[in-house]
Amino acid sequence: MSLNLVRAFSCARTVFAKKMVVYAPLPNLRNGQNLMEHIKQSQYAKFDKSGAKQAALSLHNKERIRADDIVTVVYKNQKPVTGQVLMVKRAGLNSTILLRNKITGLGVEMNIPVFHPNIIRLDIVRRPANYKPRNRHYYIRNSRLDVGELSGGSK
Amino acid sequence: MIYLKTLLKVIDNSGAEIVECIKVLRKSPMNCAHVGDKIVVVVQEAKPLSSQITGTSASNRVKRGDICRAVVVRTKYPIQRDDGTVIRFDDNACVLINQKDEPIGTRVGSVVARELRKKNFNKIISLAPRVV
Repeated sequence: MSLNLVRAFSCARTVFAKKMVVYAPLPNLRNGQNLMEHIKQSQYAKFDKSGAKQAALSLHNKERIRADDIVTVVYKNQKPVTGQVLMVKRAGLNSTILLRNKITGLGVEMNIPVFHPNIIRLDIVRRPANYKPRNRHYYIRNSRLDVGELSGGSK
Repeated sequence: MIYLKTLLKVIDNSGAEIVECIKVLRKSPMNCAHVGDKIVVVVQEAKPLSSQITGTSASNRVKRGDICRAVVVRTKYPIQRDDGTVIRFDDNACVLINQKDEPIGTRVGSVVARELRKKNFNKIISLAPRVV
């Protein structure tokens, strides 16, 4: 009996599997753009509409924020923060700048996420005449190169 | 990261200059104190008592060897905030308080962290010259 069944099936296959249907390929998603690249760009569009923060960090920009600059971070909901940049961490939307300042003679360091929506803008208060020859200035802490008491208004 | 044997600066006018932590209050034994946490301290160095100081600040003076409570106001260990900002001070500092969480001194000398407001140390916040 089982043999009969097998025979019936094999006959059926020869009858129905005559033609294979080939569909037209789907159009490329996101015009062929890489998914992660697409997400990155859409996030930038959401958190940095004007592109100013991106430009402030971009290595192609000669006016970018560098270690040794004195920067004021202006917030929507709190007082501005001023300090000398010790380092700039470029990590897409997670980019941060490390600001060091002295308040009443005491060193205070703040690591600030640049693309946070509460940050309106980053102002460069002052640039040095000559930049120090490194990108990360951790070594100036408690040395004779250490920062002074910086305030946002000084030009 | 304030725990047993940590030396802290005292930034009020209670007379103490350097204190040593001997207990972190209301935490499990292995935990350490951060900004806004209460600790028990021993006064290791104090300013000498002078007859010129009078009034409440004189009666509230502490001496070397006194045991009192304190609240941590700055730490060297980084503090992560809700908005992703990380803040770090160059020293560990505290303000001496009494059993009712009121500061013993009448003045606070230097900058304190904003986290104290969350822990209801508003008196210290209002006394401090700068809050970051």
